[in-house]
Amino acid sequence: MRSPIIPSDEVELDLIVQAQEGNREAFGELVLRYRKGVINVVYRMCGDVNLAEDVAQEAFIKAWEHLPSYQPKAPFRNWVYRIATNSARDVLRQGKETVNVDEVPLSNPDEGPEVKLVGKERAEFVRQAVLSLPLASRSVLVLREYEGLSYREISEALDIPIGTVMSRLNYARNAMRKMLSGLLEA
Amino acid sequence: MNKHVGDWLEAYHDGELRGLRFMQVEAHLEKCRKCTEELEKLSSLSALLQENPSASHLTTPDRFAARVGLYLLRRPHQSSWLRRLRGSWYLVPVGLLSAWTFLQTVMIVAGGMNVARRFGLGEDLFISLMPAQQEGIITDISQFVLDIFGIGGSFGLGVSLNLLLPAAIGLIYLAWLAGWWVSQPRQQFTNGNS
Repeated sequence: MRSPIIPSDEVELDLIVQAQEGNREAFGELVLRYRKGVINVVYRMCGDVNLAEDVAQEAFIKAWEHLPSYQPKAPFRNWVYRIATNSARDVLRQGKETVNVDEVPLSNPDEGPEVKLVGKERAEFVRQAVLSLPLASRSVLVLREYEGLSYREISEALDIPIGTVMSRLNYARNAMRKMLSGLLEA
Repeated sequence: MNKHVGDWLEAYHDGELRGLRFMQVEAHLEKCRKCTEELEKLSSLSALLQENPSASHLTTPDRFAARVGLYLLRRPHQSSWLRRLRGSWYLVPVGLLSAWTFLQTVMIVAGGMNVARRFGLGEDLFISLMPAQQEGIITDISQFVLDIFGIGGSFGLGVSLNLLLPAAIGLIYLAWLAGWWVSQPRQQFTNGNS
């Protein structure tokens, strides 16, 4: 259950220093390392693969621009995730949200536990439920459940106190349990 | 839920508890069915959330990195020693000011001593303050300093140093100022005609 800790190894530190000095190839290596994680975080937040790639790309460009001011006190991954979640929020606030929350087919209590969705339908149901969460709690849930970040790492990535991480996570889980009650009890 | 460990159950589930609190929750779970069920529900929710697959049909890693590379603004390559040099560059005026202050102090003190010696004042004052065996050496050194920096030093040398050293410091400062001005990024002004 313990979240995995990614060591900021010597090689990565060297890549960061080189990238800070303007070396694009070193930054390219960092992009390759964190590409998948960043795209997934954005995808879980906005629900569109193409949009996720575009936002992830934008996040890496922002990371390059701000790299000279990056202090390797916190892991690079958390720093990049922070930029990615902020970029995703900006895009979603600009109205590019791809999912209409009002149309999210949430669990109907009348249907009861008999409703048995399978395979892709279940996955889609879960995906829509995650997307229906408010942005603040959605980002915490995504970083915890899908990326396995610890409370402290989430706190660093989103720049919020650990207490807020816990309360948002609690809110998100309670909301998910209500929305997915049909699937959980099935 | 206060009697139970509801407040800490999620933290326990996420592996965030340590020490005494961890043991308290573990001990409570052994005897509390309600909290155990609650913990199982949390685990079920986590498992269900994992059914939501990660992003698929992604651009290949190399292509993605290349796309990012296309939009990266070129930053001048700046090695760490060059950055350190840039940092110390701004210390040059401080160094020059210190050198000028030191030089002025030495000249004023030497001038004052020279004048005093001419009038026969304080002849033995400095020598009396020194240890007896160093008396000769100190006298020689003070004489040399007075000759170099004193107002009445040998022709040319004292006067030249009095003038040349501050002038040299001033010139170095002006050169630094010019270098700083040249290195500043400049805004392009146009006359408005396209």
